Amino acid sequence: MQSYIDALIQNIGILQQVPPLIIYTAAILLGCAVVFGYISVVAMIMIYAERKVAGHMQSRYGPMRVGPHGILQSVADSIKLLLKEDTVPDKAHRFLFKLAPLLVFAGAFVPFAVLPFSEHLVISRMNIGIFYILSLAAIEVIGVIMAGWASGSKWSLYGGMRLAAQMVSYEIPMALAVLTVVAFSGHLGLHEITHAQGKWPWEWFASPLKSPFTAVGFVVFYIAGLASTKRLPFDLPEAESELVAGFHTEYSGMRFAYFFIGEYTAMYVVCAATAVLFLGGWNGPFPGVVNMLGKTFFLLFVMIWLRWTLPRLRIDQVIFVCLKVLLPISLICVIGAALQAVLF
Amino acid sequence: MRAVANYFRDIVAAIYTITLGLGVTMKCLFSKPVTLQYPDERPEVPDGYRGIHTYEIEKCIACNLCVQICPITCITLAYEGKGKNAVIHQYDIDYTKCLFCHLCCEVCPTDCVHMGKEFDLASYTRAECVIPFAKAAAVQKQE
Ligand code: SF4
Ligand code: SF4
Repeated sequence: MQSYIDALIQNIGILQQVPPLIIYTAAILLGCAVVFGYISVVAMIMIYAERKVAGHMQSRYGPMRVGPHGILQSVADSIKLLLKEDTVPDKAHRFLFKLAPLLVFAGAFVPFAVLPFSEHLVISRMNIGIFYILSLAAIEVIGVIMAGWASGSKWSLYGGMRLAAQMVSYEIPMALAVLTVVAFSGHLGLHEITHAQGKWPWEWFASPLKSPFTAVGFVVFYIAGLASTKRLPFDLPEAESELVAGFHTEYSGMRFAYFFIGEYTAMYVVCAATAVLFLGGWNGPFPGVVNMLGKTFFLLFVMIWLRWTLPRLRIDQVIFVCLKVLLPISLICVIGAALQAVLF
Repeated sequence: MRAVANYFRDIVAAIYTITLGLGVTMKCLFSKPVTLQYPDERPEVPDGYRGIHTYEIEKCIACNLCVQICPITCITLAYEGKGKNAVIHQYDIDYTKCLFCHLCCEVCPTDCVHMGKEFDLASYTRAECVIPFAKAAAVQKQE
């Protein structure tokens, strides 16, 4: 990204008179605006797709009224959310209550800095890309706990605490699953990991032909990703039948919209990261961007599909799945992958 | 040893049942929805459905039987004269009360009140749920 801006400055005469600091700041803001626009549109499309798929999976139609086949439903919903009154409960801690949605949203937004869309379409080729994504996922946890605590409502607090338990424990198998891939690529950068995979499905890390350990790691990573984005069957932090809406019970209007977009963005990030790590990223028979988006949206569809198929687990079952199933499996995978990488 | 075997059996069973479930939802995704787009599409009402009554004013002999048998007295009948010469001014049924029990239709000696197929009674006021059948018939006659 920086090289592009430098090239721009060199080629356009007027830009040379402006101090570079201003140009860089403007470029950063512009980049943020583009990414923000992209994720708002993607979130809207995903919310629509989710409701439509959910409807048809339950033998209903889903939204049908706003626009042909309800295509403008998400637009109508966003207008509604923007116009709603923004309430802050009396018992809430005002500052933290207002800060929490921004943190959650920021945690979901920042990984776009390293997520590649194709070989060249990427904001930053950070050499610790996947580490950066995993560590920023932790900001979201803090935001959610903050929301739960600052709301001053017991439902929110329960939701926040459940989420803390769930997300912190699922980050371990998630990171271990990433290590299986890193053992082969020998690098934490997303570009290097993608280059370690080939064009065809059997050359991807998700394929047992490449390595059975990364193939299992793929499943572990995806399940842990479901848990860290609070998707069913791991949506205990929101469990509407027990906790009203969990940590965002007290939020309304725009602040709620932040949580909502943040959740869908986090889903997108997890799916894109899975596509890069295990499904060969932009490698494939089509042009790079098409491959990448195709894989990401396929994984998103599977998330929606799972959500409307499985029931919600209990909290002890959630932790059981993490600590007694995924963790040992991922440990075995790490050791196996390391041995395979060294010996073969 | 048993516990270890059970552990692995549980994992296999979980994977197997999840795949089965995914298959079911995928099949539903491509089957035709069973719901209707209500105001645009109307359900087919079967014969013998007990909806809003239909009333044939020219057959009614103002015998008052339906008013008497109605368990919640939701029929209001006002008339002049008797028998075939009766002039009916008012035959209202209050659908906020009616329980669609069909008794009024059974008791009617001239078979002039029936259960119809109409079911849509949404309105903004309670007064609108009282349907004046005699007035409606008069209006129809004028037209
Ligand atoms: S259907 Fe039953 S409740 Fe309704 S008007 Fe007739 S007798 Fe009364
Ligand atoms: S029972 Fe039949 S004939 Fe008698 S008043 Fe009622 S509707 Fe008219």
